[in-house]
Amino acid sequence: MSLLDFQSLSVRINQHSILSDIQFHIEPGEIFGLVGESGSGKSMTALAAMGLLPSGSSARGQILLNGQDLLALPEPQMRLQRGKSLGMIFQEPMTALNPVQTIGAQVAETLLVHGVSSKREALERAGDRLQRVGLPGDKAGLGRFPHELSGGQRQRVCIAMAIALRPKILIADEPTTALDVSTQAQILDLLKELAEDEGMALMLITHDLAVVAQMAVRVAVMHQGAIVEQGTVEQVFCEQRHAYTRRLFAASTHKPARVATAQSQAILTVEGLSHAYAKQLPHPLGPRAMLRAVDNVSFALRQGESLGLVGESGCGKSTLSRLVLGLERRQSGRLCLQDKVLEARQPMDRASRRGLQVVFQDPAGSFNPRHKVERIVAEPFHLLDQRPQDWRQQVKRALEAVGLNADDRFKYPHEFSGGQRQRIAIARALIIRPKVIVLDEAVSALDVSIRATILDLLADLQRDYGLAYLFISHDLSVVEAITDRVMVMRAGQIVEEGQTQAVMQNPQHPYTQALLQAVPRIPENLRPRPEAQT
Amino acid sequence: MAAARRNALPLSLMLGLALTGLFVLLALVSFFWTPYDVTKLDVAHRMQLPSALHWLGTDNIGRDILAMIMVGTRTSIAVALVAVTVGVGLGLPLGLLAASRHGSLLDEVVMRSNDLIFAFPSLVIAILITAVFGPSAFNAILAIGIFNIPVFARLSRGAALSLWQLDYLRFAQTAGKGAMRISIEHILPNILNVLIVQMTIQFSLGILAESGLSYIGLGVQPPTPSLGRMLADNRTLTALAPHLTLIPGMAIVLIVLGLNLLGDGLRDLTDPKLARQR
Amino acid sequence: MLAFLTARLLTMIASLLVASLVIFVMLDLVPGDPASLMLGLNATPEALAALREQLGLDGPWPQRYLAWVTGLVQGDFGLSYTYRVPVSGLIAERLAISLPLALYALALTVLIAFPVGMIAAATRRSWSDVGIMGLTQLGIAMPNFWFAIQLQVLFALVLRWLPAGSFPGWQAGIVPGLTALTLPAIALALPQASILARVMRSSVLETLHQDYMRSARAKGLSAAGALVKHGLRNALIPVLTIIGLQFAFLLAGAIIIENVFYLSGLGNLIFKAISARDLIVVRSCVMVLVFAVIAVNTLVDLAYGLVDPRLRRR
Repeated sequence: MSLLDFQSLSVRINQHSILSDIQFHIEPGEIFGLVGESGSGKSMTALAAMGLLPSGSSARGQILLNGQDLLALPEPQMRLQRGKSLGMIFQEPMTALNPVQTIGAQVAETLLVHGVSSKREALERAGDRLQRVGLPGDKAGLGRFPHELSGGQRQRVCIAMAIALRPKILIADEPTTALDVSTQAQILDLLKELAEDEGMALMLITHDLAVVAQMAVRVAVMHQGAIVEQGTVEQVFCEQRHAYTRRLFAASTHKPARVATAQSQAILTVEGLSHAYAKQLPHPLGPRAMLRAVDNVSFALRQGESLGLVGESGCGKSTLSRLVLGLERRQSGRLCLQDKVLEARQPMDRASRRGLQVVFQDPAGSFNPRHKVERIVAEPFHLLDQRPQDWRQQVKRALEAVGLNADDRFKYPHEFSGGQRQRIAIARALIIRPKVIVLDEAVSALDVSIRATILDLLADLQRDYGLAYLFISHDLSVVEAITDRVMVMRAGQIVEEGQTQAVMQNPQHPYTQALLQAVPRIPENLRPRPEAQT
Repeated sequence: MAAARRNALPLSLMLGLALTGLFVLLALVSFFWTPYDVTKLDVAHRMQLPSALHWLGTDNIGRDILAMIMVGTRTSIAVALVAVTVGVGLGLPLGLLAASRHGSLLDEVVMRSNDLIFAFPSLVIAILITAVFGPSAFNAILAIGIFNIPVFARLSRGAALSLWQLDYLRFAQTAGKGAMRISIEHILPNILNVLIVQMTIQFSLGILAESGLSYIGLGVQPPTPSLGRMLADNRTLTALAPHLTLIPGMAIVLIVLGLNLLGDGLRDLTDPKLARQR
Repeated sequence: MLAFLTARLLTMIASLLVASLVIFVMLDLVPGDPASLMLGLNATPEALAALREQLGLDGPWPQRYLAWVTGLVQGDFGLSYTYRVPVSGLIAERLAISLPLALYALALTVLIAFPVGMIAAATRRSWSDVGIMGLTQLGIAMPNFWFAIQLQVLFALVLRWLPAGSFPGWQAGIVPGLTALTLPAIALALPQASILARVMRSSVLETLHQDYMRSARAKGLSAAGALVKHGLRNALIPVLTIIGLQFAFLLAGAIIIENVFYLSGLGNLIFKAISARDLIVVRSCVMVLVFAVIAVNTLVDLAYGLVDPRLRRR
């Protein structure tokens, strides 16, 4: 008998079908991967098993845990299963813990809810569990509050909370998506180790094929609320029987066809850029400590070149991007844009801004929701002394250049999908023909298939317009796909710089080596067999 | 859920609009016509119950209560309206300015002066002003208006600050637009709904405050009728003729209720996140 | 925690200094010559000169301000011009009524608002929720002095359950004292409780959507258990702010209610002082009110630190 068995599960919310005919099973001690893009229904499947579907939803079919149908259980009995037989951790460790309670109390609560009688015993066992997930479990460790911990540490606390009673199965919903790569590697190792040591099954929900390849034994691919293909990792990865699976794999390993357009002439030069923020005061009368977010950074971006900037969160890449864009006053160091030199503290004038545009990450926050696309795309014309006579024509042409319809200019941003909005953002950056475009995590919020098309578009535009890109991202595989050269940033400094291929294949700095080591990759033996690629 | 919202929403909005509309209409009509002259005393017909001649009865010196309420409503609305205008007129620009220079000395000064004004409840401001300049409607407006400034400054600063985190404002900066222009073009239209809701709330608070100040004699001075002073004039007679205080009191309750319902309805209409929680 | 405390206390002292300066400017500098304002138009030059000397108006203003503030710190509020007694004694006497009244009203507010707000949140969208929300709308719309008048007529004059007003003094005993303050406290509390109940309700509902509530459910807590164990303490944070503002309002707003119930509290003293143009008394009374508001805000900030560990570090 399987441990957890989904039998033709269907879920509707307010008459909309969310899941249809979900059928798969997980064996005891097995790591099972559930893969799909956003909106495919992966999380709903997990919530259905936990009995935590949002209000207004109705489920049909069966979810059998050791032969017992969870969907048929009344809430008071379902409640006893949660935390005891089924544990779950979520994507956002930053908000998943109660901010006003110590982590010890939160882990101990799982035990207290399920019948551990004394608070002391519960705390003691909570300490053991915290130690098991790699956190100090002594009195001081138990007494810490969530805000004192990093994202990775908080996810460890969530894991300790979920496995406190050694459940038979742990459901992990995108457990590492919000974390940096090196932290991700550690958390994944921990999950794998726990599954092996404690004989616990793991249902790993992720959008990342490489993570599944590394972790799971069997995998199911979800698309639009249904499972399109399932089997062992070897079967699914190598055979790719379903068209959607093939599309997903192609998109996630996609590299746009690029032609080298880089010239020798530098178009943007940064020399000795530094920027420090005042730290929060430990004491009102104490000395003011400074945090050097960007520390003596120099680089040159050549005409038509694509330069990557990678680093983990907090490394200073966002500050660097703001400094380059003139959104923040440069405290020291200078910036040369084409022939114009901007000294430290000198504000960026309109003429310099003309040569430099930007595409941001968030497709939702990038546009004024009350403006129509035409007005949005035309905003950079403000940098010209006078808006050109044919500005409407230019907006139309820019929209067509990024693959949108000219008539889209009369719509509001909320009428577009995430990928389309990113195209609008690119059209807006393109409209005054800048020499340099800063792409600040520009594809990070997109699903893999859309990301692939946007990367193609960026490559095409670079070829057609001779653009130089400063491509800022935390994602090494994307940087590898689209850049000529790459810089690795850590604690405000550039620790390594070189041709992208050379750095990726032969990293020199220990940090770069560790970073590359941590990136999950699909192993060679799990690549599609030739006959599958038709 | 969606269906429930569609049903629940128009009710508060409609009721609020109807009540507010009724009293605004009464106040406007009072400019041209009132059933009786509010300054005319008719001691022979004092303290009458509602009748065909005097729809809402007469007060302790024989003035028609309906006429008094019409003119009193006009006074209340005028005072509250000017006080809200003062609050928005000064608070909004200060808040936007502080948000655009977040963390600067200016921001700090604006916020600290806000805190300072909050330490003086409007009644205390009214007392200070009255102690120096004597009681008047103008001073009541000033007292309520001053208290409104930090309310709007804080609100618009907070709302603007969260918008300044968004990428479209960063983009506007890279398009060479200054803080002032961005505030007007990108921020103001997007915080307008929050502002309008707060305006209805402050408006209703202003009407309550005016009635309170007039009740203790720090507000509108005789012979101008005011809802608050109608209560003060007749309060000793309440046991004898309850309608003398019940009717003006109900008038205040209904005006304030109407404005609050209007504010709630508008908020539900413009902020789906809040509507979901109500 | 110590750093947090010192920071709050320093802010409080700075606010008090600025507030005292504002009051001083309003009442001592704006009128031009406070002495002639206090004595009116018919004052003899001798009386004016005598009062000026008593007020210390001959010195430059920084010196006068400093004298006032140092006096305040030492508990010396000056001599009342009308009563001819120390102002500090007058204020202490009146605060013995006003402060218990404000605290009584605040206690009622919290006692009513917390359960009512939670019931409304727990039964969201049911008839009890709609009913409670409707009643609170009415409660907010009522002017408290009008409500006070109606209460007085009903419970004191018609039913004769409670006294209509005036205060017997604490020497008559705690119970008669509290009985005398009951109607005024209810009149003050109900509108405030209506506001607080609504804040409580929306604050609780806000926490229902937080991620940590989902984590708590995943541990096996029931929906109600998660709300009590994790929701309430987080919901309390915005509620505390409102309670702080309400105390300030109850203390200052009591001025009107004292008038209705013939209580000789601080408000009554201020009124008499204004009509007698006794600026020395007005100045100190206003300072006492402002001190209370600022002190309560500081207390609320400290309470934040207790509820929310994230703030303790600062």
